[in-house]
Amino acid sequence: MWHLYQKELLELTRDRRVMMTMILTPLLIMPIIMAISMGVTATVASAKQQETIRYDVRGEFSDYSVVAALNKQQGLSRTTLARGVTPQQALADGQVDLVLEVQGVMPSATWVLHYNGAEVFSRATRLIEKVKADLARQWQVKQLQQQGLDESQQQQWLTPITLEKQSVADERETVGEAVGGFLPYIMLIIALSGAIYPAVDIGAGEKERGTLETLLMLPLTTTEIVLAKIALVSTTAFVTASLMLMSMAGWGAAAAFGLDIDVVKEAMQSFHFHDLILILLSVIPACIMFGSLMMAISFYARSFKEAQTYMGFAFTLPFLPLLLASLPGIEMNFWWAMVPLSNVALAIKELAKGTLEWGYLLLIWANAGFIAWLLTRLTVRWCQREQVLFR
Amino acid sequence: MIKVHRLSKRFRVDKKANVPANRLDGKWFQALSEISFEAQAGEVIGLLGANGAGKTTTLRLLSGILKADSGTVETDLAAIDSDSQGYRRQLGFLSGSKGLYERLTVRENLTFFARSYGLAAEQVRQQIELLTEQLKLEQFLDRKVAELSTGMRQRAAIARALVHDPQLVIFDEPTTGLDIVATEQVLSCIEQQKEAGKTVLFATHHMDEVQLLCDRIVVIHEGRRCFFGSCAEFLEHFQADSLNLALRHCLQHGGAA
Repeated sequence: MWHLYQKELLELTRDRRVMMTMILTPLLIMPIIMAISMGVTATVASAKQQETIRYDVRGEFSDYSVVAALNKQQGLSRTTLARGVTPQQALADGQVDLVLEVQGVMPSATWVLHYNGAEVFSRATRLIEKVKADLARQWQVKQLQQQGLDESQQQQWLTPITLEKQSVADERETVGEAVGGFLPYIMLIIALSGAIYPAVDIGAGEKERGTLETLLMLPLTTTEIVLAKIALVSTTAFVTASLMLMSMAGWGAAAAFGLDIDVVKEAMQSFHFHDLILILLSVIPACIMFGSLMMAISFYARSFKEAQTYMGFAFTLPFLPLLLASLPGIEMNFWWAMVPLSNVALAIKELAKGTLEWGYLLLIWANAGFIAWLLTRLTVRWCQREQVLFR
Repeated sequence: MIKVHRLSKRFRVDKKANVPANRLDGKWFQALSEISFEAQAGEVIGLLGANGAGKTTTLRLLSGILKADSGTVETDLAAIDSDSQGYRRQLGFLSGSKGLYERLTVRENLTFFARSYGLAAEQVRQQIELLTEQLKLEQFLDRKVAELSTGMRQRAAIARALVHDPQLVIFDEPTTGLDIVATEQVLSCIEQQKEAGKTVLFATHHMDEVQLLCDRIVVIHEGRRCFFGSCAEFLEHFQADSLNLALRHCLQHGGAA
C-alpha cells in the first residue's frame, strides 16, 4: 500500500495541473485575487469619502439655521433645483446626491431625506445626520440655558445616561471573530479544490486509461488500493489548505509589517504559531472526508469527463454546512460537533478566537473518521463490482 | 498448468448497449458459454476469434479480475478464488491498455510493480537488468512512458507484466499496432517464456504468430468455444491449407471441437 501511495504521489507531482491547483492557487493566485479585491474596495471607499455631496434643501424656512448649518458643513455643496423637478427625478437624473425636505420647526421638525440608499460607500446620510445632531444640540442647549441651568446641569439633561462599554472579549477573541468568519470558507473550499483533480485523475482517469485493471491484478486487496488513493487525495487537500494558511499568514505579515497597516498588524500579533498548527489539525478530518467522498465519486464515474461533471456538483455540497456554520448565533456545541464540515468550520472559528474546548476537536475527529470509514467501504464495494469497474 | 472447465460469464447491459441480439437474454449479455481448455507448463496457447467473440473476457476471468458465473479454473500455482493474492503473484497479465503510468519513466514503472509484487530491492534491480536486455529497453529505460513510441510502450508493458517472473503469462493482443522489428522482439520474448517452462496464453488476430508460437489454439466464436487443439489438427479438421482459411471456415460454420 505504501508503494502505491508513493507511486501516486510521484505521478501527481509530475502533473502541471495538480501543481497549479495545489501550489500556485493558494500561494499566488488566491492572495492576488484577495489583494486586488481589497485594494479596489479600499480605493472606491476612499474616493467616495472624498467626494462632495450635491444637495438641495426644500420646505418651510422660518428657521434659516438649517440652511446655514448645511452650508457650513464640509463635504456638502448646494445645487438649487428648478421648482418643477421632483426629488426623485433630480436623483434619477444625477443632478444631486440628496434632497432634504424640511417640514416644521424644532422641537417638532421633520426632515425628509431623499437619497439613493443602494450606494454602499456614500456618506450622504452620515453628513445630514451630523448636521441634524449639531442643530438639535444647539437648540437643546439654548432651551436649557433659558431655564437658567449651568453647564454641568445642561450636561446631565443632555446625557442622562452614560454608557460605558466593557467587553469581556480580549483582542484575540475580537480579531478571531472577524477572521473566523472567512477563514473556514477559504480553507475548506481550497482544500476541496485541491482534492478534486487528483481524485478524478487517479480514479476515473485510471479506469479510462486501463491502469486500474492492472492495479487490481496486483497482490493487494481492493481495500488497500482504495485506502492508498484516499490517503493521497486527502494529502493533496491538506497540503493545499496548509499552503493557503501559510500563504495568508505570510502575505498578512508582509502587509502588516512591510506596509505598516495597523489593523492587520494587530490581527497578526494576536495569533501564535501553535494556533496555526491547531487550525491545520482541525482541517485534517475535513480533508479525509473530502478524499473519501471524491474517490467514491471518481470510481463511480464512467470516464474522466463524467467524473469532472460529478465533481462540479460535489463542489457545491460543502456550501450549505459552511453557510450554516457562519450564521449569527451558531456556536459550537455537541450537536453542531456532529454536523460534518459545519463542525470543522466552527472549530476553526473557535480556534481563531482561542476559545475551543478540546473535547470538541476529538468529537470532530471521531465524526469525520466514521464518515470517511463509511465512504471508504462504499468505494471498496464499488471497486469490487464488475458493473462499476467495467462500465 | 491451467485447466479451464465450462467457464461461463454474462454481463448486465443497458438498453443502449450495442450487443448482438442472439447473445442477449433480457438484460443479460452472454459473453461466454461453457468454455473449456487447458494449458501445460512450457506450452503456448493462442486464443483466436473475431472482435467481441469473448477472448478478452476469457483472459480477464483467468486473471481473476472478473468472477465467472459458473465453471472452474484450476492451476498448480494457487487457487484463483481462495488464494487470489497468491494466484496474482504467479500471474503476468498484459492487457490491451498496456497498464503503464505515463508520467513515470519505464524504470519507475517497473520498480513500482516489482515492489508491489513483494520483490526486494536487489531482486528488482536484477529483474530490470534482465528484462532490459531481453526486450532491448536500455535506450528508453529512463524516459517517461508518455514520450515513447507505440513499440517502445509495448515492450515496456511486456516488461511490466514479466517483472515479477510469473509462472502464468497472459497477453491480450501483444503485437497490435507494432512494426516488424517490435513484433519480432515481442514474439521472441514469448518464446523465451515458453523455453523457461512457463504457461503462456495469448489472444491474437495474426495467424503467422499462431503458426510460429502456438502449441495449441482455442477458437472462440460468439462466446462459445468452436475449436481446441493443435494447428495441424485445426487445418485437418477444416480441410484447409492455411490457418486463415481454417479460421474463416470455423467462424462461418461455428466449428466443432
